[in-house]
Amino acid sequence: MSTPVVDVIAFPAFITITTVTFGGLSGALHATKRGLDPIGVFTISLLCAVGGGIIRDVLLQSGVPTFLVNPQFLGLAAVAAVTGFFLAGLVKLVVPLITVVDTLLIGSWVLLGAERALAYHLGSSAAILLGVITATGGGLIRDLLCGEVPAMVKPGEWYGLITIIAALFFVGLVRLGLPIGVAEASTMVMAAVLRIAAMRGNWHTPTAYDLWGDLESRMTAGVEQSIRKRDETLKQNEQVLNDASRD
Amino acid sequence: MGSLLSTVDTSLTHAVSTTHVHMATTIEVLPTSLPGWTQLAAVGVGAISGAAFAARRGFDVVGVLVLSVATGLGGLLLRDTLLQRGTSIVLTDGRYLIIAAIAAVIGFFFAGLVDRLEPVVVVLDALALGFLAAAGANAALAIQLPPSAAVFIGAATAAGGLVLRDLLAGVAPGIMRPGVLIAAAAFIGALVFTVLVVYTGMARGQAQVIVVLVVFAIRVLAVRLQWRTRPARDLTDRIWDRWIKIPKRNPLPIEIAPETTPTAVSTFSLPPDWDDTSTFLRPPGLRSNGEAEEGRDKR
Repeated sequence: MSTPVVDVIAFPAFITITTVTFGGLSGALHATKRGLDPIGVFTISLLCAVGGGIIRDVLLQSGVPTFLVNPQFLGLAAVAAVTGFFLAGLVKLVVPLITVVDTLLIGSWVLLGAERALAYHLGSSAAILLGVITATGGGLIRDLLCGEVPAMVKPGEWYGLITIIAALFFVGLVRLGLPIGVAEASTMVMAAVLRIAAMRGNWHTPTAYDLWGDLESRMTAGVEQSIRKRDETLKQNEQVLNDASRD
Repeated sequence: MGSLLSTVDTSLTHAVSTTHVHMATTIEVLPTSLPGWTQLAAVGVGAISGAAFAARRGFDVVGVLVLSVATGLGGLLLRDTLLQRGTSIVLTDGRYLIIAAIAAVIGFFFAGLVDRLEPVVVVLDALALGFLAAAGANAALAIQLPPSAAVFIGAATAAGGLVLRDLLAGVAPGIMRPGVLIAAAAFIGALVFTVLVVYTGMARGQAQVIVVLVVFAIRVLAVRLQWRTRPARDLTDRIWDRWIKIPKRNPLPIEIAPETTPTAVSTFSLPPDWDDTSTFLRPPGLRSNGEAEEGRDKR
């Protein structure tokens, strides 16, 4: 397979700015809700906005991370932090807007990473990994710094799964030889549609299912016991999900 | 990288005896008018406090060592990782890891002593904080990053070790919670350094000394006067009430219609039990009054 070279990054700058701004705003709100001090709010806001990008740049070893070279990213994060710190009431009013923009931009987070990896002539799997890391890294760092189990690894909403699917989709389209702009647009639309479907349908990611134990009990103790065991597992799963959603 | 070397303040290089220039692309430890061992000392102080922290929480040997390394070297490691200029000074200069290991031994066996000497540790920590803030901002300025990035890197270098320590110890990072003024002091130190170097053109060595003094003063005053950072306060309502809200007009008086006695519009009226569905589908003979029903039951 010939490796397509994505030398020109066709991603429009305003989408990057919007993505980062809304990431920072949601981070500032998250930090304010947890009662952090000004430095904490700024840090969380910044890392929500550019945390994924930092991990990406460090992994790619591509020089100083973008947010340090471009002062506008630090400025955006500072504005978001100040807004979240003093005007939390105002930000809460636009939470539906943040949710909508977040939904529409989930694909662009993936693209920010996957495309950069392709531009550095990395392989498909590396591009997928970097896309997922860029999309989920900000939230991961945010949760770690807030002292919580990262939402990414907890059973719950479809977010990480969608980024994986979107990254696979994008890299697949590029490898099929589609123009980069078409691949970008369709990935963003696909991710947004998937996210909306997941939110509307209240989809939850499944926890591990003990298939071996299930088969074993089926073979040894007959059908009734296996059903009992499955019901127990289901009940446990439900409890875990309830705990997760209560958080 | 000639441009980098040209930024070195030549009047100060004589004081830098232990400067390590590894590769053309590495960051200089430089140009400081403080002797070279001060950075090692700053790292050592952080490492000892990290080791004592781990020992107090009942970590084992490896845990104490890891937390000592993370607390002492975490800031510099974070700085060098973010600036992406070759291998970190922490790894290329073997003395840093050795100092962290010695600090781990001290913390492991003498955590009680470290606790008892708390005022001394606070003072040394305050000195190290300012030193690292200046070292971080300096490294960012040396590779021509914008001033805002230099402030960020300075604060991250000074406070990064504490964040890393808390993450590895499995607690929520304390410096971001409302409480003692550590991250804010580091931030102010990095800001002062950047302003002094970029906007007044002061020599970096002098700026560093000033920063160390400023941060030390802030930290000691904060501890003495118990300054604390505050959580967010929501000014939305106040701003709204003061500036944006349209003043309420007096409510319009509502015209209340005078009470009128209802007049009969029709003489037709339904029987009182017209909506009683129980009598609806019965044959006409069994309909109506309760006496007939009772009579039927008795029979």
